[in-house]
Amino acid sequence: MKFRHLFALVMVVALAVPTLSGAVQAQEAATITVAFAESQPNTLDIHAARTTDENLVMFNVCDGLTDTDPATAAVVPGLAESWEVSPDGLVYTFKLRSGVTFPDGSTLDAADVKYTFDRFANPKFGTSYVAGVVLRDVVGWAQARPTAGKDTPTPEPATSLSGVEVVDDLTVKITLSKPVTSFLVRLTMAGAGILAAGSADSGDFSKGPMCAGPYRVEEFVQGDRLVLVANENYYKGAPKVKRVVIRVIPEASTQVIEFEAGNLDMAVAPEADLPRIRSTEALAKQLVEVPTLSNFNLRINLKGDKTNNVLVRRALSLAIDRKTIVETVLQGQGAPAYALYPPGLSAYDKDYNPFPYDPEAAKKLLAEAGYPNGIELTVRNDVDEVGNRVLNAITQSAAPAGIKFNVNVTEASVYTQDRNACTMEMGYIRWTMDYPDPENMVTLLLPNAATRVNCGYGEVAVAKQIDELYNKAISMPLGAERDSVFREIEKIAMDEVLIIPIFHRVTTYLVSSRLGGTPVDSAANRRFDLIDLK
Amino acid sequence: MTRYILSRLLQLIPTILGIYLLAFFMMRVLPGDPAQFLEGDRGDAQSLAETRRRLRIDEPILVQLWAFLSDAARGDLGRSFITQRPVTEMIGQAFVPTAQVAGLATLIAVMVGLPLGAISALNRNSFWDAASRLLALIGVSIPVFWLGLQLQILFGLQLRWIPRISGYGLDERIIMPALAASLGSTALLTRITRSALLEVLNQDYIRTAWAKGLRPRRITTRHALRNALLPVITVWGGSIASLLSGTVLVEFIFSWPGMGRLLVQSISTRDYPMVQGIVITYALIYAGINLAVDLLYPVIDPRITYS
Amino acid sequence: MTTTSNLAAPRRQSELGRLFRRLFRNPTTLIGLILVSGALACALFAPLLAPYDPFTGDLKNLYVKPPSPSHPFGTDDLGRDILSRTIYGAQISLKIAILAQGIGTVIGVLLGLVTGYFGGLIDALIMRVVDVVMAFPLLIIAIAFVGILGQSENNIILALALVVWPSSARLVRSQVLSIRESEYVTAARSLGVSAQGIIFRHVLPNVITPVVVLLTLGLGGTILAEASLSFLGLGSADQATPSWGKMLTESRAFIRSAWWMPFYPGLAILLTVLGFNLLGDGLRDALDVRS
Repeated sequence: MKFRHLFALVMVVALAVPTLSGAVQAQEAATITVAFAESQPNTLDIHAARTTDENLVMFNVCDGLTDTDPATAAVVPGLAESWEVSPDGLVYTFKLRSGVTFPDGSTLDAADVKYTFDRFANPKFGTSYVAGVVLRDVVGWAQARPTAGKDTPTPEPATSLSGVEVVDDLTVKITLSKPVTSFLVRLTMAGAGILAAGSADSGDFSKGPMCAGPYRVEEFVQGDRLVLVANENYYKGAPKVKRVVIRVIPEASTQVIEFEAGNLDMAVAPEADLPRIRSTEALAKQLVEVPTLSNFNLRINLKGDKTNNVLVRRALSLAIDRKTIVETVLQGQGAPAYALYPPGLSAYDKDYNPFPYDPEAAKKLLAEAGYPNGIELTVRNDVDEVGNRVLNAITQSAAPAGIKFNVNVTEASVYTQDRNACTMEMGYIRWTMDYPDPENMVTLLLPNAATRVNCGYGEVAVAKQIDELYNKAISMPLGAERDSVFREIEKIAMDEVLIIPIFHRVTTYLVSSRLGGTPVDSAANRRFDLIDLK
Repeated sequence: MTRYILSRLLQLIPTILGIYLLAFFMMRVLPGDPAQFLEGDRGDAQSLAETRRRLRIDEPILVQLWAFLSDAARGDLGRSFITQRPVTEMIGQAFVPTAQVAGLATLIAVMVGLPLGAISALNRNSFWDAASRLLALIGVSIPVFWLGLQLQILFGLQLRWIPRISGYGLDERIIMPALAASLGSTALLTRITRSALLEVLNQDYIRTAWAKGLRPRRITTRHALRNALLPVITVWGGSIASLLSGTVLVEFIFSWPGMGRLLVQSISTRDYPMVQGIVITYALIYAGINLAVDLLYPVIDPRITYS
Repeated sequence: MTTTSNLAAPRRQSELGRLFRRLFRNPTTLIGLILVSGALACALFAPLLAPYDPFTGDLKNLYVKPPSPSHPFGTDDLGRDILSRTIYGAQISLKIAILAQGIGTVIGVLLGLVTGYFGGLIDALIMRVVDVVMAFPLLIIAIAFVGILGQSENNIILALALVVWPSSARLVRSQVLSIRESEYVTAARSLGVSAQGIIFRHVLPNVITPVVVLLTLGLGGTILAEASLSFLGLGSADQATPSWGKMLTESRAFIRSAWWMPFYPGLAILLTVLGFNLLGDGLRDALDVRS
């Protein structure tokens, strides 16, 4: 190629690229730009939503019957302004707020609630596991989701959830089959938002669900961004932030760079980057730490040759230096977990520590168990950077106890499959709570999912005891007594070392100082209507 | 020649079919069940069964294959397991950004690689030769994710030449991803151009032309470059094709919604219809590029004929 | 008879001697040789060269420490010495890259020779297979292979070899196509030399040079391909053994706060690839003058 021609070509290309000066539009006053925490929502159908990113949208677009107080995480009225619970704890009568309007103009009434829960209970539409969490105790659930009998085929599912009844325009009656007291808490979940009746019939969720929350979806450009726009008629008053652009930025380091450049008002702060961020003054003062109700633990194959021995399990748990791991690998973004419940739950007991770091004691236990020369154990995980660092750190801290702790990392789908069939000795579990109630943590012990059935959680000696205590606790009124029963369960589980807790997560965000007030509530949900722009 | 083209086009059909079947069976042989992946840790036996029924993976394999093929014949590649959106729509949306970045990257590679390789060859063993070879090598050896982040920091944060650092747009935001993606191809093109040109420059007929007194420049362009182009084009075709899928890391770092990212995500979530659809798309593109390259051979070197 | 044999032997010796002398006259080739020897030395003598144990570290006290006299390359996120890990990493990375590239190239060259020379149905068949393999992005082939057979080192080598062979096949084929009609081949054919003879004695030597270039360049690509595989979670399932690719991937999150973590494995890869390339170039230059 002649160099003359080459030069001309370069000039043409250079001129074709638009000028860079002033290309950035100044941030409009009432717009904020944030980013999805993981990648992006796969669906905007509220009854199929299950991931963190999908919940972010649903929390801000849809309100439910009940709500969580941003400061205390207590249950407060939402779209239901009040409710009565029958003395036997089975019948909940909700009085809906009057005058709440949907963006399509219709007014909130009981028919909307019935429509929403009917659709949620329908296995064709309510495909998220949240359907079960919210509605499994409502009368009619078994008919809406029938299972095949021994020799009989699956019966036709009922099209309506019989336990949800319209009493009058503003009154809904929900009857439970068991007097579980966490029902109101579960109604605060993102997936329990109320849709306008008939709005989901078309199946078109490109503009999100038709709800009465503080925002609605203006547009969703796959792979790029989702834009929320304020609902001016929101019953709590129009939100101060009029437009929220949620960008898709899967790479955490890029989120931080965009934040530093002023293009993002909020970004996740990865642990690895925290030392640098903390030592940069301008950034350090924009760090916000949010304890996340969670328990990152090891699920154990209670039927495994080595792991069926409680002495072995306890030895391993004693050989984990949780404090050092939290300080180094997590850079303080977590709290050591010595038991089930995280700080933030009323059932949390800060003085209960059954597993201090004691490799010597661990060694003795192993000798007692028949492994005087040490033992080799393998844990499974998927591609999870932080998790694998934690596990590798455990390998180090467990070595002095004579435990050779192998970490076996595979693809996510392979790990999920093996975990469900429980073809492993131990598996790393990232359990973030669905709703702030200890019963959601006890789920880790119950044989109600394929994985825990296959790992033998239903067959241990204490399973029956735990089951009895659990059924007793979930029907007790919320309060100290209920908490103490849950603590009893916790003690049994830790005595038997049914799971090995490692840490409770703390999520760190970089939040721009122009957002007056933290947009993250105490249940770790980002709520944009809480923001008051400076 | 026309007969050759026709026969190659006809040969495309079994190739595509072969790729189809390969993708179909490969996904199903891979361990890891899409239904279990979707349900995660919280699925009980009943919801798992429901999900499998919904995704139609509980049907016998041949039934699934037939359904897939008959739908595909009508242009319907099914719906993604994860998003429930039509595969063709998702691929269409992802293809454009990938093509844009790959196109610009290829342009950069050609504009930088060919001249650099030529300079290198013509000034063999000089400082320029060594410098350009070193640059090309560094280009290949640098981990893309490291480079991508450094580019973002340098041009986005420190120099502020590129105010919008990541995201999709046919504006300043395409520059860094294209630069990062072009490295491998540029390096490759530089090296291959240099070596091919050197090969040719040493041939007898070049020396003869020199002896005859033809001006050096005419020798280079007329004779040498033409003959050197053969291996160059071969490799270039392959590099375009690999660019289309090799942009994964670049797409992640720069939040570029392309096919590479989509492919990786679909594989790890065992989204069978998506993977099948994307693989077929790539196959068509690759086959097309290979055919084009093969057709260029006789144009460049008339000694090559297809009979 | 005696005279011919006397003449033959010394000529062959001095040919080789000339080759080596040409090789080492070039300074860049020497540098390449030094770099490659260095990498190979690390791989072969790692236990002697590494100051610390690459597998254990001191998490509590040495978490992500910058380079210091006691740890010249710094420590990583588990308190392990990076210098030692880099030295040991040569073992895995080189083994995988050399084996994968070698196996793949040999297969590719053989197939390219055959299809280029014979053409016709064989050409069509093999080229269609090449199309199919090249149509599958590296990702899919590697994932399929490694996913089905398991995440082990050998499977990764095979998977990468599978990715490597089509490019050399195509390259060789294009060279063969041009050489096939050239004078000396036509002459050899008319003299009655067998196809095998022509391929291996006339075609192959002329085809070797671009293949050598492709191979040396490919080595770097293979080392980085291994890094991509660990990036996607498909690296060797065993977390303990260090490879440069895995070290790079695992230090991704630390690029901004601990520059030394990705820097040294990256530098190791760069220098090794540089070395192979300079050596390959030198080889090509030396072989070139002779023809």
